[in-house]
Amino acid sequence: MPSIRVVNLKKYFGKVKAVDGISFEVKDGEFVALLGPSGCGKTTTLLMLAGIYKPTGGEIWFDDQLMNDVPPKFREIGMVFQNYALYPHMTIYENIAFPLRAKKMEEGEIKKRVYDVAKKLMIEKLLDRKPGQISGGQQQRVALARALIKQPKVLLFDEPLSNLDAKLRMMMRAEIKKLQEDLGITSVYVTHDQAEAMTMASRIVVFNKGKIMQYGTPDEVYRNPKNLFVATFIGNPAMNLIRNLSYIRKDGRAFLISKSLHLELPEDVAKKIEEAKKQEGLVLGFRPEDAEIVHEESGLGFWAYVYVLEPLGRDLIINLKVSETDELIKVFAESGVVVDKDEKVFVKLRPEGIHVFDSETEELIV
Amino acid sequence: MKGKGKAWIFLTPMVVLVVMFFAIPVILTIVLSFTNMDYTFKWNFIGLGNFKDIATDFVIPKVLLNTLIYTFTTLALFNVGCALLISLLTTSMPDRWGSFFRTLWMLPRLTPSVVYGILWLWIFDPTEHGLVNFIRAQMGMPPQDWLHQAPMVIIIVANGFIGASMGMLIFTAAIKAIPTDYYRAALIDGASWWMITRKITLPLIKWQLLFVTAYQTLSLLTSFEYILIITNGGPTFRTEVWALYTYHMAFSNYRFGYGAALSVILVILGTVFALLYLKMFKFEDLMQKPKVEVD
Ligand SMILES: Nc1ncnc2c1ncn2[C@@H]1O[C@H](COP(=O)(O)OP(=O)(O)O)[C@@H](O)[C@H]1O
Ligand SMILES: [Mg+2]
Repeated sequence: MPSIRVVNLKKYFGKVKAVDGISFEVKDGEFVALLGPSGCGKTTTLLMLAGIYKPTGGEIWFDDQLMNDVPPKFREIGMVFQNYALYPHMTIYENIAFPLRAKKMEEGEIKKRVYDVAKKLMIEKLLDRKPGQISGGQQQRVALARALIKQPKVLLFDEPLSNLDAKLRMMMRAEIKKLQEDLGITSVYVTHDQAEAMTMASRIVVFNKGKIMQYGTPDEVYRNPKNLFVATFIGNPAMNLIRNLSYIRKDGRAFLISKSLHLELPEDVAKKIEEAKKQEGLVLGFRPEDAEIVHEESGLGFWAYVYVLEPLGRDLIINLKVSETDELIKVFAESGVVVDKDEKVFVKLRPEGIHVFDSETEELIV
Repeated sequence: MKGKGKAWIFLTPMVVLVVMFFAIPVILTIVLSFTNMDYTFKWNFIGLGNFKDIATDFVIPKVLLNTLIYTFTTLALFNVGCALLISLLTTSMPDRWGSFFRTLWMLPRLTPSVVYGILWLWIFDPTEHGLVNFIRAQMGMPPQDWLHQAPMVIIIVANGFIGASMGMLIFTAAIKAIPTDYYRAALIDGASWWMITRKITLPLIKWQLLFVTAYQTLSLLTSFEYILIITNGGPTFRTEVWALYTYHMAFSNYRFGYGAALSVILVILGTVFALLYLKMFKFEDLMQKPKVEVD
């Protein structure tokens, strides 16, 4: 299976810069997710990989072959579309056989291959139905079968699970991942669902407005987001942000302060902020699980009051506000924790969970 | 007032119009076909007399043959064939060019029909003032009387050029409504243009193909204005089609009863073709089958 290397790839539609100079690579047999909100250029990128769109600029390499001018049919690609793109007038058998028919394969071989792949995907009973007569989950499997039947070297997925209900989505997530691992086909998987990207991919390309925000393993993009976009896009609930903070030093101790908040910083964090030479417009970020609610001041943290509780069964999300005008803060707690509405509590932070961003550049400082 | 009464108030004007301008003429024509009414306008019932006359009318076999040749050649070559070809080609090229070529084909529609007819008369004028003969003269060739040599070809081409635009519009709209992803999937799977056309586009515009074929058959069977202008059925019945013959009988020879009988037969002929098409296109298959959700 080939590796994929994309260098400074661009696609402009008139004035719209759908994809604006992206570079990333996918290793041989790797499963990479392109993650980003709707309209950020994910599909456009995928269609360029497939050869449907011609790049405005940049290069696409499969191993050491430049693919820019190679027509789709010579790229040995299988693609699963968001709406499956099954031909409504053909039976499931004919849909799956279509890529082989295009190759003018001999009928006996087609039949054998269709039954093989249908069996693998557990759709062999549906072969004489039409797409309109099977459920969404089954259509999904048929689309997968059609992509796999020609034994492609690269698999492209465009939000394949977004039309399924939550339960089916979880199931198919695991199944696609297993299938990809078994077959070892180099795969690029587009999604706007961060949970999908986190659970399935070995690396994630986080996209926004046609640009790459960060490229790394799920753990890297979760633990060390490079900017505010990644910090808020990845994770559910999202990372907590407290904006409009200023940095000051008093009596040798370092603080992040606003009208309503006063947070003492560990020395290593303070050093980094001083190195960045930023005093104003700082943003504090921390994940809901990197904080703890306690009743008296202890260590690193700040005071806030309880706004509303969201019980989740095993866990409890405590929503807090530092003051009336601030954004909500969400903190995970075990369901045994007792707090009252409007109670003033201390939000104790884990030192390694603290992130500080520059609100102008949106980049991470610490 | 009750809801039903109110509904009738709104419906009545339309119902009156339909009865006056559709139902009454149809009934009158049928009744008329059993009379031998002429310029004296007398209702003289003669039973099936007109229909017996039609069966023995020596011109009828020629007229029937002309009608079938004219209708189905125009249909196959232009109104469906050419229309489909233009739609397939113009939707396979960049949209700017596609729109340009389609607009070109729309131009005849925008020309008043009498002007359009006269245009063809000028193109094939037997003297050197006609377009074709003028061009021939430039190349040192003698003029030809085209309208005498190939009148059928000329009326087919004249009708086809204007008739193709309707099918073109409908097919183009239908092709554009096919989800782009079907084509992308097919391209990735390595299908050729021909395979995509045959296996995806054509089956998905089957309903529009049926509609245009049926509609254009009926309109070719009944319309005759360009033939009237260009050849008036001649020379000697060579382009006399059923609808034109009906017109000549009724309004040149003032045999209104006979004309009515001819048009009744034309309606029956049209209905038969429409039913045949439904069978040919397996219309039942086009009806939405119920969706079944099974696991
Ligand atoms: N064929 C096209 N013509 C013009 N603009 C397009 C076209 N395809 C996509 N775009 C624009 O490019 C941007 C990215 O689109 P897309 O790649 O579909 O986003 P995503 O798949 O991430 O939701 C959007 O602003 C979209 O409107
Ligand atoms: Mg998309």
